[in-house]
Amino acid sequence: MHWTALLLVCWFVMSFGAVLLARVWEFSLFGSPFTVWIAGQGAMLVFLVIVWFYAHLGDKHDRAIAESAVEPP
Amino acid sequence: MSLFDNPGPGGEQAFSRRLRRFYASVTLGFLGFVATMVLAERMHLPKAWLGLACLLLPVILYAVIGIVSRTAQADQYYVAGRSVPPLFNGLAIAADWMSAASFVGLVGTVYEAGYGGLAYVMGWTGGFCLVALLIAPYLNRFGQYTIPDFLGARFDSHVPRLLGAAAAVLVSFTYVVAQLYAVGLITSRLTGLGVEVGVMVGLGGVLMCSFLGGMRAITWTQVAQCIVLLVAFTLPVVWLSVKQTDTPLPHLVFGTQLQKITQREEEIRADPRERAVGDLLRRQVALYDAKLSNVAAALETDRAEAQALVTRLQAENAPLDSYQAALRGLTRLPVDADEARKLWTAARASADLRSQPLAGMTPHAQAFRGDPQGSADERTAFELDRRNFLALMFCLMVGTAGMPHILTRLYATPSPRAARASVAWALSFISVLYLTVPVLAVMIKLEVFNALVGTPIDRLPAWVSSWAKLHPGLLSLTDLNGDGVLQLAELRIDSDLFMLITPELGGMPYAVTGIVAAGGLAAALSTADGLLLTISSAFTHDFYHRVIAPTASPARRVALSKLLLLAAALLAANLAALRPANILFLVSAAFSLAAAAFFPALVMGIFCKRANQWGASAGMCAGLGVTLYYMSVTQPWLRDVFGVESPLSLWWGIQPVAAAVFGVPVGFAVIAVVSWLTPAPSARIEALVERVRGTG
Repeated sequence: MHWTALLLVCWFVMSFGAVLLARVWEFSLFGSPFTVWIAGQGAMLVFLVIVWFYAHLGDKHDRAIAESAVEPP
Repeated sequence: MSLFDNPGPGGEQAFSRRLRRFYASVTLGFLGFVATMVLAERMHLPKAWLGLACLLLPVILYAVIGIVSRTAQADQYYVAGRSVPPLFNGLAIAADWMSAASFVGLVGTVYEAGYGGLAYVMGWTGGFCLVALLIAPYLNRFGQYTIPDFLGARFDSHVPRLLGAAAAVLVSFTYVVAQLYAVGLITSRLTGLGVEVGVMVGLGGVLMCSFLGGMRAITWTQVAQCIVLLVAFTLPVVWLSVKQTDTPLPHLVFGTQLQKITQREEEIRADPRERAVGDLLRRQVALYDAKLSNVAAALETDRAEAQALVTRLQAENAPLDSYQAALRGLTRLPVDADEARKLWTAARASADLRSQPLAGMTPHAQAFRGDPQGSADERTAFELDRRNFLALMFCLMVGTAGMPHILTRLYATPSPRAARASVAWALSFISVLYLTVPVLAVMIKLEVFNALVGTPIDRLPAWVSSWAKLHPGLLSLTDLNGDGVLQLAELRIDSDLFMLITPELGGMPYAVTGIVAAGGLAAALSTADGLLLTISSAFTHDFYHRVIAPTASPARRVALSKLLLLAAALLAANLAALRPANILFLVSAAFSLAAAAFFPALVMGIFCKRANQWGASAGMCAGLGVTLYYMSVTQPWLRDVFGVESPLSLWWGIQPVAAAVFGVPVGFAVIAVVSWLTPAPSARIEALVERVRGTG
């Protein structure tokens, strides 16, 4: 559950945070303005990581529950 | 046993392997088809044949898959037997998701708005984080047929169920009209038929799949459609990238291309000829202002002048073509003051926009208009632009997590684990297109700035004049300052056109245009399929089966669903033929509605045991009500429809598409307050919430 909250915070910072600060972070990265790169590509890459990481976490969690169901403590 | 039947426990791996082999050969087959088309053009096959082949052969493929996987069993019809492996469910979600707005409209929007257009790119991908984290596993664990099913069971009442069904119909219908209109545009481009005929042809393609086999047939055709649309999108991008930068991966050179644009933008801003055109356009604006101050009199004067010209030419026995031109000018005048006002207001707005530096476009590398450190006006412009960007992004993200046709797909996988994985796969496939859109917009802009702007008009490529002649509403150019050279402000390209002209802009063969159109068609058809099924199951499953006739046999329900699907499709096609508003507005409006209607009720239903039927019903009504109200008093077309007379006033300057930015918080607040004031749900419902959350 706290992982979900943490991932939601990441999502929020990468989307709303990055847009709010768009005119503050005016420096270049890989030759393109950082904010434009974040909005066009960077944020999406982070979203992908969030979604895959959550799928991975969920699997681990389910397996743990299944094991504890077989052998009650 | 058919290819698409899951053999059940123990056979999943063989099933997945069989599917992978089949769709790998579909991919190879389509690549072969692309190569054949390019070769056929080299051998001088007529273009009309190429266009028709690109249009028909993929549709035949979809139809064959649809027919092979047809079904009349309820479980198969509504949720594809809950047996779709995650990779393929991901492909199907991606196809459901990437509509004509993504494929045809988005590139043009980013081209025009620069950073502002990226609100769509971020919104439509970021929304999947919400789907994955807050909704997917829980909805799958609940395991019924539709989203209203969940609302009805969780809140233990028919009221939220019926509200949900009504909202699902409203959202999906708005969305499907936009898809069918896009289908019409694309088919008319390829075949030369009218848009109305194109809409009907596209409708046939949609019905072929969804009518026969419900969710099962749609899923397996959508997987093929997703492959077609991704290949069709990538092909011209890679081609253009190799042409411009000598690398097949344009994402890596995004920055350098953007720098070139910034440099070229400065040259265009400084060009005295551009300024001269700007002055001429400002004069036009003043002219329209004068006309608009007294529409009736101005129309009278125009008509008298046109009539006088015709009479004079007739008396002088002038050459036939100039006489005919004068006559056409007379007949094309607006019929009454109302029409004149609309026409002139639109013309004034267009001239006003293009009279500004860079024809009204914000510099591509600059986030938001205006300047946070500038004058008071600049600060307001900046503040408003940023606020609307955030609001739109919010609506698109939350709307994604409330889109019924996407959420229904989460029932189609065998387990919560598969549901999570299928959302992750879906976002991966969607990113193939969405990561490319901003880069493609930059490459197209560079091509327009370098190959068109500053070129003598008689030396422009042939496709420019052929488009301008065929569809003057979509592409037009006028040499305003009469210097024989094209200036940026003299060119007007409709934003829905950019993707379709990309192949021509990059000097690719006509066959690529055909393939791009086939991809656009796949995008529109796959989304329309999913939406129509959602509409018909809202009626037959949620309304008829659950409320009116609980004992009706499954076969009867499926038959009724097919009938309703046909009716909904015909109605939507009729509306689409009227060309109501632009594609992107309709689609974004559907997202705002979905966000306000479903998101608060779903999230509260899953995460808050105390939320009850009274809260949910009131919250859905309030959220949807506020959103609909705000749209209908602020959106020009809707104001017209509802006859709203009051002066237009925006709340905190928020545009009508982002209306859900008010609706969603109101929805959450109303659910919380009303639930708290009314009795708590029963122990049975608490147990249901625990089961859905996986904690019971």
